[in-house]
Amino acid sequence: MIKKTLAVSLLTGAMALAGQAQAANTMVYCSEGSPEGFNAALTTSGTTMDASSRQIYNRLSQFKIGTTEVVPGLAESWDVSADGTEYTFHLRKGVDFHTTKYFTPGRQFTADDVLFTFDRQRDEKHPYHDVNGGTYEYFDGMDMGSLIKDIVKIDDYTVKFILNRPEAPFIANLAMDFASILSAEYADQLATSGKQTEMNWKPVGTGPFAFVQYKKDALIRYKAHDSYWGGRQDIDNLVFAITPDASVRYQKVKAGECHLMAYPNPADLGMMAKDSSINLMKREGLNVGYLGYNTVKPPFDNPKVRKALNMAINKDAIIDAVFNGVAQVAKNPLPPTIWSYNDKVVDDSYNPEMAKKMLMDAGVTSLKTNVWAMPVQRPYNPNARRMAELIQADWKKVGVDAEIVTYEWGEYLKRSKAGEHDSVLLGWTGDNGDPDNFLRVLLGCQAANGGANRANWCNKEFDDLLNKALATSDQAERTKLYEQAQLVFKREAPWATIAHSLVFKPVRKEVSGFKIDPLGGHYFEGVTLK
Amino acid sequence: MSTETLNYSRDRSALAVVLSDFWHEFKQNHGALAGLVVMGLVVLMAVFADVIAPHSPIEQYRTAMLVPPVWQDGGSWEFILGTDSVGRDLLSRLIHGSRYSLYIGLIVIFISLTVGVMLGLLAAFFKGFVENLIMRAMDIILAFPSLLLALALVAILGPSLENAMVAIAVVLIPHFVRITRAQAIAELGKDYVAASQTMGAGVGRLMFINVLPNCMAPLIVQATLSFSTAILDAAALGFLGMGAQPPTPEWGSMLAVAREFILTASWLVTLPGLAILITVLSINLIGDGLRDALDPKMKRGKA
Amino acid sequence: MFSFLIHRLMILIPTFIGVTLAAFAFIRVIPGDPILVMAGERGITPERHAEMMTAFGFDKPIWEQYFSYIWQLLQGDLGTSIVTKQPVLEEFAALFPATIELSICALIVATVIGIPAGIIAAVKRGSFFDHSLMTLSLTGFSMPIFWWALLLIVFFSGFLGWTPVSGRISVMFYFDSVTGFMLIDSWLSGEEGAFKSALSHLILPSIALGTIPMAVFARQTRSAMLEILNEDFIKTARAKGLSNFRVIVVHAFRNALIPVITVIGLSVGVLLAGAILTETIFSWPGIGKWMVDSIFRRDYPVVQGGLILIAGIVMIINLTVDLCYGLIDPRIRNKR
Repeated sequence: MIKKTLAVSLLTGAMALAGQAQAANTMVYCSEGSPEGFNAALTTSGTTMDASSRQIYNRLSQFKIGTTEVVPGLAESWDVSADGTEYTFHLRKGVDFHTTKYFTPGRQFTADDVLFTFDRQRDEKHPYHDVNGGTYEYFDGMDMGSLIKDIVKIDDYTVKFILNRPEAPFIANLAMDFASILSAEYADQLATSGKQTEMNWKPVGTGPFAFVQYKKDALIRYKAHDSYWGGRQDIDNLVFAITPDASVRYQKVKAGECHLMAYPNPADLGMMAKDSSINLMKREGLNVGYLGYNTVKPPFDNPKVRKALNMAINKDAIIDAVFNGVAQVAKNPLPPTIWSYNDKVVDDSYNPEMAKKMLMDAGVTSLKTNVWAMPVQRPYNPNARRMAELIQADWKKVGVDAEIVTYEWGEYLKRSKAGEHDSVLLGWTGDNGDPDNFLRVLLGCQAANGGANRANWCNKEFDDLLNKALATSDQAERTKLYEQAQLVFKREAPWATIAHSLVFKPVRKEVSGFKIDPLGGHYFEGVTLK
Repeated sequence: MSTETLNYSRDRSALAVVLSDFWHEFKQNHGALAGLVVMGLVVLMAVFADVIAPHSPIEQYRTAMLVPPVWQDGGSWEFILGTDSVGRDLLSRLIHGSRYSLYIGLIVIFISLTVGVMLGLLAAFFKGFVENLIMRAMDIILAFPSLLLALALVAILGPSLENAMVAIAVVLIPHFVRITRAQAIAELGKDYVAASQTMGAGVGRLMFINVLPNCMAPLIVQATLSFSTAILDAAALGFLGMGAQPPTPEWGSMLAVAREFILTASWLVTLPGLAILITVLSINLIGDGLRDALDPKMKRGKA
Repeated sequence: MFSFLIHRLMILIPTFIGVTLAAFAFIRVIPGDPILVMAGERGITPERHAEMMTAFGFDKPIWEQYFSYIWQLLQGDLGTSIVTKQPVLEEFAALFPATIELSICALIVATVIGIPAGIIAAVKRGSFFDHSLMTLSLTGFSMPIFWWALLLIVFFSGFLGWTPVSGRISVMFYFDSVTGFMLIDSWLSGEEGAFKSALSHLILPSIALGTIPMAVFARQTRSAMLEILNEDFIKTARAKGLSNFRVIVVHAFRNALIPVITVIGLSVGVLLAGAILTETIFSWPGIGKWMVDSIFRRDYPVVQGGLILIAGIVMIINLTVDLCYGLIDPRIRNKR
């Protein structure tokens, strides 16, 4: 009996807390995992970027929150030389770095901080180059090292980037997380005390929120940056409650323990939409999930075979079973939210009879093949295994026997890169909202045979269009070229384009001002609580 | 002491006596009998899965995805226990799943029992270096929490049902080694062993004809317990994505896949878990009964 | 006693060396390239790949890797995580208190319920209570705890809304970690409601993790008690007219304690194995979850270091149990 009353009082205590959790001006975000650190230049993980660059830091140019539009950040303006190889940035004045328990800034933001940020990544002899592992995946992946010839400080508030070749998306590239501006003064101070590695764990930036505390696998705490150049935030405290399980995250939002959650389960969306305390926000994701054929392996070297297999796949069933009906069938390799998306392209219709006939015509009978299913969850493919099972069943109907192959993630990437697959399920989420970031990275000749072009597809007509677009900075001209490239893509069918997922964010009603980032991030600048 | 009784096992009529004694003890334990009945049903289900199951366990009914069980709103008699996220019949998957669980249990026991008994006998017969080597290797295995070790092993071998079984078998081996060795050393000290040794019996004969049969009782009990451990651990590995891979209707991996539907389609979570629990429970009930019937100490306690 | 200790240590040291060798070998034969895992969909150039192989030392001969590993191990350096670039030992130290706290609470749940239940069942042998308890405990023992944990969450957190869903304490409380044990830290912080919050977060995970040990303790206590209750000295005590309660608790239970304590000591390994599943489901930031995550991320140094640390801890606890046992019962220490 005594035990029972004790239990009851404990439980009511828990309920009281749930109520208290909604206290004003502390915003709690249920995030999906622990960050790998707090320097976005060192990572490719969105979780790390959410925890670091998107709250703590700023970049020279930035994406306007909720869009892929590039706006001035720490640079107030910039000039581009006529040949497109010199970018001069005029820096914002009066920008304060965070004052924290471990660092008190002695000066404001200047050109030195810009130089430090980029030199650290591009100069192997830079004293900070090897600190915290020294792996700059994005900087290297975007080929920035060979693109940037030099970075020159003109004066404290002017910096000039000199490129080796014109690159149309350069400003958009600098808005990406890896280009977040660090404090050179803080770095020097750490170097004097020999604690360089702390740069990654006790971050100092110029952004809307300053870092307070991190407990691995539990939480991250931030407080508003009082003298933020963009204005002090309405939220005083920001907390990331790290909660890896999606259903648990939802439970926490329901209980008021969190105001907002990352990556809801597709299966729970129906309940969320009905939940009166939750505002289920939605928008198209800047991504594409696809099945890439290995176009150098017969019979997949024949576009007619690829086309036939595409027509055998019932994409609507996939959208229902894998995405719970909340995704959009993809017809282009570009998502519809990106500029230059060609809506005139006609998708291959689902027609097993026709597909069977086309395979017969191409001389392909009793084909035994494989479909590779990735072992990880991604927005563009929340359940590759299930998707593969559906494709397997569809192909069976046109007389194609497919075996489902899966490896653990590293092995999967390695083997598919080596071209061991017949067809492989993969996808992509845009980095900077530029079409080049989809088309050339995933389908360009340069990326075939060992790059991210897992279809190993190299088509001269397509490639020429892309290269021409890269060298022009006129967006209307580029749009035309990319639209044409999409027609070539559809004709040749190196992929079965499957889906563009919709992105959902369950947000409690008390929250206002939150915008879904098309690039997949979570920004809390400008968010207020009732 | 019943070990003495068991020594007559070479005599046929004595064996019959032992067995009927055993059965007499065993059937007094109602729990064990119930376990035996349930287990019998599970075995029947596994053997005749193809006949009993109303549907194929992997056929996808695209028009009937996530149909609830018959007793819930929207359920139908066509899919008695409902369907999963790609429209496969849950009842059929559970029935076929019993095959995997039994298969896992049997293979794991076979591997760990044979390897364990061999190593245990070797350790008992060859004192010194061999014994030390074997027992230290077993200590190493036992130093790791079993599931963690199995998980690490599967990570090396690659996630699949076969590898999960190997990993679980490895983790269970030390128990068999220890029991066999202890029992064998006790037997080796007895007069009849010394007698057959003086009569010129070789090591092999001593091991398998004289000593091994007398270690059987505790080994049988251990094997039964390991059977249930194997099913549980395989399910846990499947749940963590390191065991059987979908679309295999293994209960643990069915649970793993169902996890995202815990709020919306709870039958996908409750039913496979219940299947695991019932099977494991009935095996443990049988194991309890076996121990009571075979262990002389417990017999006295019962008297 | 001293020679007993020496003997145990003589066995322990080669076993521990074996453990390091096993943990090391494990990780080297895992298929899959950790550097490719890190690079993800984006891929990596061969030059950069080679560079990173060197940086992590994967390009050296395997024996060289082992010896340099042991050398560092002896200096207390267990390597650095590939993912977080933090020293393994530091991560372990930060997360271990969470696991201890959970394990202790689970043990308390198991002991407080399991042992009295076992005593009562033994005393009332054959009664309805005895039968139901034995069935229940066997059910607990047969429970797939990952499933059990899910059911607990759905019912108590989801349906009834009584307990928090996951984590160690409400994120509303902010205080510095002093001991790493949330119950103690929240108490020390003096913040109103903090201790209550920490406690309420512990309830479900402790029940989930404590279920199997609880079943084992109940069964073990019952059978130990049955044996003791049959002993002559108990019959004598009863004959002397001592009260039933006194006989059971003072005389019988004290004697039944040794096997029970052993079982409690030995259940530490079981708890750590269970913690892997429980922590994963309740997103409890402890070493079980840390190990699972690291295995999935192919974080070689963490898996390796974690295996060694965990095995080391299990071995030390088993040794302690052995020694206590030896102290209580001299027969054990003389038996080789």
